[in-house]
Amino acid sequence: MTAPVAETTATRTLGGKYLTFVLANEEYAFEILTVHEIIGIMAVTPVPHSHPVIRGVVNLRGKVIPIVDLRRRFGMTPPPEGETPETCIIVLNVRNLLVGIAVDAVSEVRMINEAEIEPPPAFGSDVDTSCLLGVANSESKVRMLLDAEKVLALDVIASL
Amino acid sequence: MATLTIDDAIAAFVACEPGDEAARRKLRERLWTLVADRSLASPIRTALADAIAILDDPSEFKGAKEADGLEKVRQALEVAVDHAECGDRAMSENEPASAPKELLPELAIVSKSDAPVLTIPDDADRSLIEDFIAEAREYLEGAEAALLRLESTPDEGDAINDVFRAFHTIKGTSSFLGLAAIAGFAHHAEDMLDRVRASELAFAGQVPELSFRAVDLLKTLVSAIPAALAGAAPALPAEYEALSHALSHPERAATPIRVSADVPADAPKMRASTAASVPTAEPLVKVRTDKLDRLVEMVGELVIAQTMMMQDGVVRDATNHNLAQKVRHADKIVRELQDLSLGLRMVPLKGAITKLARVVRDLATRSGKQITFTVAGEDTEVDRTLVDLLADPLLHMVRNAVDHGIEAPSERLKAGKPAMGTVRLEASQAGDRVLVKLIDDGRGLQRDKIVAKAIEKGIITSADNMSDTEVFDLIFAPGFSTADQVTEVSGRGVGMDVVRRNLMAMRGRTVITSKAGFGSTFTIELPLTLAITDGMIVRVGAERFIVPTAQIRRCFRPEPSAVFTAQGKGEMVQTAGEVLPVVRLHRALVVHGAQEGVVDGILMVVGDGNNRTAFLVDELLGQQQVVAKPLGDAIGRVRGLTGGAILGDGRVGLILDVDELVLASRGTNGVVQAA
Repeated sequence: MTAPVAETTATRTLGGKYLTFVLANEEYAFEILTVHEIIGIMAVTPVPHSHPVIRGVVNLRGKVIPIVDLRRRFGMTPPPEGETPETCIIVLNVRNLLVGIAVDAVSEVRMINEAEIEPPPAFGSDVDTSCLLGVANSESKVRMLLDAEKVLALDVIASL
Repeated sequence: MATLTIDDAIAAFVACEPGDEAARRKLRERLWTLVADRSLASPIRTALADAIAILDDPSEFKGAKEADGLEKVRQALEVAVDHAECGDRAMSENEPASAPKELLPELAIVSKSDAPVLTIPDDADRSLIEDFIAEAREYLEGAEAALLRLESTPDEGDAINDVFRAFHTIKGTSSFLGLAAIAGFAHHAEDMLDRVRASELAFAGQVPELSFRAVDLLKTLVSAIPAALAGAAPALPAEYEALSHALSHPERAATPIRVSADVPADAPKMRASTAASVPTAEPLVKVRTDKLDRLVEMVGELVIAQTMMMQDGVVRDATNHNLAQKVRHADKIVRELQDLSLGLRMVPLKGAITKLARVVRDLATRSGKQITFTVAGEDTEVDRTLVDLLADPLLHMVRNAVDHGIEAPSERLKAGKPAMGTVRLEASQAGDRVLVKLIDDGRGLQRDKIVAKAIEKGIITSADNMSDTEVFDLIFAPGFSTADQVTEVSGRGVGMDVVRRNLMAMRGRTVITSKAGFGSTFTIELPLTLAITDGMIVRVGAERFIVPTAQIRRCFRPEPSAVFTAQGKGEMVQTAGEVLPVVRLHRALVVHGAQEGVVDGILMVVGDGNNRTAFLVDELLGQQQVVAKPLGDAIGRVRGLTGGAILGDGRVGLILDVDELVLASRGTNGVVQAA
């Protein structure tokens, strides 16, 4: 990604409100300011010849928006149980583009203090930590704070 | 240049002995350099210009009078030196009587609009300037149209007033906005036209050409404004100075003016005072286009929501009579609102057409042909976006008609036709389509020549079974050109294929009819709007796709005996006397679970001419008007798709890019080929 993003990551304070959600029994979170809305899972129209992480497009009140499959984005396998009533789409607004992210379940909006946040640990080459803003450790739970822009890597996806 | 000072001019003056013309020329050169030096105050430059005027007047230097002439020059130089020493002190009684007054206003303007770049004042109101850009363009187009009218009927006083008013308004507004360079130039143009208006100057000789060039230059200046707004300092066009000067002195411009015959004898006909009779128009409101587009989009969404509600089981099977009535009423309002909102974006085709008259005029002049260009139906309305898209194809076609269609006058006379050729443009509306016809009475398309060229270029191998229409279609093939000579205008073989591509992009069609010796007719057929597409919804496996109805020639279920294969895999179908390649859409679009057998599905014939192809789909689900939407920047451009649209059940259907799928199936980029 571009340099300015790295800069803001380095200088901005990470404490604030986050929307937490579940993906393959792991807890993740997006900064609340990047979240546009949450919608239930709906019929997704697959788009041939699009990038593999794009599951397809949906109709968001007349707008056509793409849905990114976060499991595929992180190289995880599809959920064994398939879609459940809990499955939903988090619509993110990144650089004025609306993009939906399919997740297993949304948990809550919670305040995460600066003090609870630690830099992403080094997992070695197996785990890509470039999308992580940091790791929040509170109430004996660990939540991965995601950088929405990097998760979507919009320019990368669009150019493929 | 900046190194020269008035002292240098005085040194040159001192060197001027009576009879020494070389020295006088040198003095004159230095004076010109100084006059052009904008760092000098304008009174100094005025005085120096006076000196030049004296030098240029041969009567001042005749024989014994030469000493007097030099004395006058000396006085003028003294005035300049005085000004240089005393700053901007007003000119006193020293002012030489012989000063040519016409130079004064010009210099005054130059000193105001002095930077050689287009600058915008720091405190400028950007939105006002943006409005000005649009307004100035409108005025300039109006001026251009009026100039063309003037050329055919020179005594049309209203046309002169139109041109004058355009320059006048641009001058006024631009000077108010601090766009000095534009105001200065418009002032010169206005001055010249004012003299024409007052019958001081005939609209003949160099005047028409100067007026056209003034319009062009102002257009260039106006289109440089956005760059200037963005902080750049766009240089003024090279012609700026020279043209300003020529406009102030049209009599001195290269060709002498014919004062006699071209001046209308009854000058009052010019009606110089009709400036007040501005053509009345409907009151207008300016609305930003993005707001308008958003409105149309929202109405589109409303229509979709309405459709979804109408198709909902609860409403459709409603036993409540009252509810059904209310829903129908709402539906009627929504449909009317849709028509109305689409109408908002409709603008007359005029915008794409006015420029063409100028193109024909210039091309005809350059190629020595005589052509009358007439237009009918320019008020036909189409979607605003289409007007912009249509401009280029029309330009190419008009160039083509002038360059290839109309013959030289001698050739026409030999063929028993009037020397004056005609090119006619007719626009009309037919249902939800717009027809634009370009008719010329030139030599027509020559089948033999086209065939020979197409074979030479390797586009076809033989034309034995081709109809005239098919042969004429070849001129749209990439790399085709029939001009005997490659001309600057239209002989490069880029053009007509671009025309077809552009028209296809707006779901248009082209048809050519032509009769050798009698001329050709190019017909463009376009949808009224791109915002709403008539689509055929087709099922491929479990997925539904939308195919623009305009691109479907016909659909049929093939007989097993009509299906053939080549080398065991290339499948073809024989239908209505032609053999078409079969493309399985489910392979091209990576859909699983669709019908494999050609005879089990429906074949849909798409494409034009040599690109006709049969697409295999599982089922036709019916037609629907859809609002085309982009798939979003996050996905970007996807091969084979032009966008998406919301279907009746709320799901997104993808709109197929038929042309791209056809091309891909021909192996030009390998999408279908791989499947």
